[in-house]
Amino acid sequence: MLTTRTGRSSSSSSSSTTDQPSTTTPSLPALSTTTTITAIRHSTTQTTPPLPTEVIHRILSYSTQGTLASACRTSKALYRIASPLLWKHLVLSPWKLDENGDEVLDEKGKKVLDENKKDCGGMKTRQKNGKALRNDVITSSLYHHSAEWCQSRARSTLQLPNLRTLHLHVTGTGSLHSSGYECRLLRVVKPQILVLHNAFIGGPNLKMWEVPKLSTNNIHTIFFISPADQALEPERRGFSLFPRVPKIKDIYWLFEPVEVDESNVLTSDIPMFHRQDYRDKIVELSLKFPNARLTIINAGIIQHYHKRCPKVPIEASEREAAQVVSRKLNGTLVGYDFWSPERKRQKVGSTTFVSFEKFIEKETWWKYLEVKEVMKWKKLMVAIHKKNSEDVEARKVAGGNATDKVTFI
Amino acid sequence: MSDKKQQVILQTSDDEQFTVEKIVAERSAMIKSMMEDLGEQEGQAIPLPNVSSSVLTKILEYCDHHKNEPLPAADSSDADDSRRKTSEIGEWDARWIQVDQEMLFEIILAANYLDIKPLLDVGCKTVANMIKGKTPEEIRKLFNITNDFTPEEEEQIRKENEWAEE
Repeated sequence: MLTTRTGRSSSSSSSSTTDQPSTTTPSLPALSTTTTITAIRHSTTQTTPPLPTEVIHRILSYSTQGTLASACRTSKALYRIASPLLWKHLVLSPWKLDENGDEVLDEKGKKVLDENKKDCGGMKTRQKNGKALRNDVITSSLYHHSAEWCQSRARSTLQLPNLRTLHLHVTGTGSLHSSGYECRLLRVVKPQILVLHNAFIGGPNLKMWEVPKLSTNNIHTIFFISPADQALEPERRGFSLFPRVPKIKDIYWLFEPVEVDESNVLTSDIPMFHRQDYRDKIVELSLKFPNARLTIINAGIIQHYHKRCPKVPIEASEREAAQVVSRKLNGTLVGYDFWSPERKRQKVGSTTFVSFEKFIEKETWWKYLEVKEVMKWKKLMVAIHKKNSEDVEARKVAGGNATDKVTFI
Repeated sequence: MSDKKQQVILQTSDDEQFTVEKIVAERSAMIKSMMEDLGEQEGQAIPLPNVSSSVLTKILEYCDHHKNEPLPAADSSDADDSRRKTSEIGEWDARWIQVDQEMLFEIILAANYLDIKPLLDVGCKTVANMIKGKTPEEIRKLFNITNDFTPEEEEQIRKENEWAEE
């Protein structure tokens, strides 16, 4: 290989590993072949006893990304323990993180872009000892990234043969890269579980043409996570644009509690869309995937974010949503008449509504969701329930009609 | 249905004997299965050649405090694994584990040997907190590890994991 680097205009010195694997980078000693680890050395100057490998592994399993990255560089022995733990969940995020692995927020509460990793965490796709293969990756989170970077020739695709769960964090309007390109990174991944974060209620805002068609072939479970306070114009075509998912078995739609600045958000005039249309979307989704079980989580919370909605207990509005959806599936929804009554009845049975609390208590959510994120929601839900019951009480005291009944607007 | 509390004798590496309630000793899955194997032999001490008396004193404090809690299932499944991650260190545990590093590591080693999973987790979480946000050099110091990388190798690994840096 010729040393062609001098001729390149690229200012990025870090591309050397990608471009010249054979010349400049020293090959690591055969890490995988070494036998048991005894190299957690113990010198006589210190009294700290050495810890066995399995204990170190346990300690590091509680560590965040950044700490694992540091641990990888301490010694060969620790590299062998920490590297698979780090790569188990490949997070290509452009955000600045603090030492806890949490996103740093500015004074306005917005996430801060990290200049060094704005293109998906500075990921060079021929990493991990110079290979494009990363056998350790089980879960991957991909955030919004620039189309130029994604499409540039220097990048290869993400070859993640053992990838099981793919989290796509899309932006409000721009989807994965504010463009209509197919995401090059996703070209060969074949996840079984797709978790779509920030999916808007109007229909998934992920521009599905960005997701290469074949990558949905093995998916058996989809999670839509929708921020409950989002009020967008309903996307007319909604779920009809969603690609074929031949092996789909389970679909979860979770309405995510979000922290709202009441003075800011709730005073704005929120479209009435939610009251009825999110239920239509549930019906639509249910009919789009006739063979999948659909579980709607936390639907009752949507009421909470809208000042026009009467304050009713969250459970009551959940129950009401379930009734409406079931009625619609039973045949009164205009536009779905081509479904046989039998088919619809079948769907009624496989569409269930659960509260957030029941869901995290009963389901095996940790197979799909981030523990940290779910714990954050749990905290928020406690606060929301408290506020909600206060509101309901206040209405009762004021003589208002605070019954279980929800009236349609 | 006897009111008399059942007791066991534990013998440490420095030949001290501790008479403890059975329910306290059973926090250790290792001691529990040993007792089951040995049967009810009055007055016979269970040898713990890997645990010193000072460490055992400390650990018995923990076991006594938690003696009435349900024992974790013998085979902690995938689910427990995840659940485990969610819980922070309890208030009492956090105060109890405020010891110097040598003692902390001794406790972890003993918890590992005695097979007291919840205690092992408390110890490991504590160490995980200690290394949070630390540089490789600081981690080496803490674990007393010798750097066996060449500077080039270390740099290569740094580049490999650049996406994960904070």
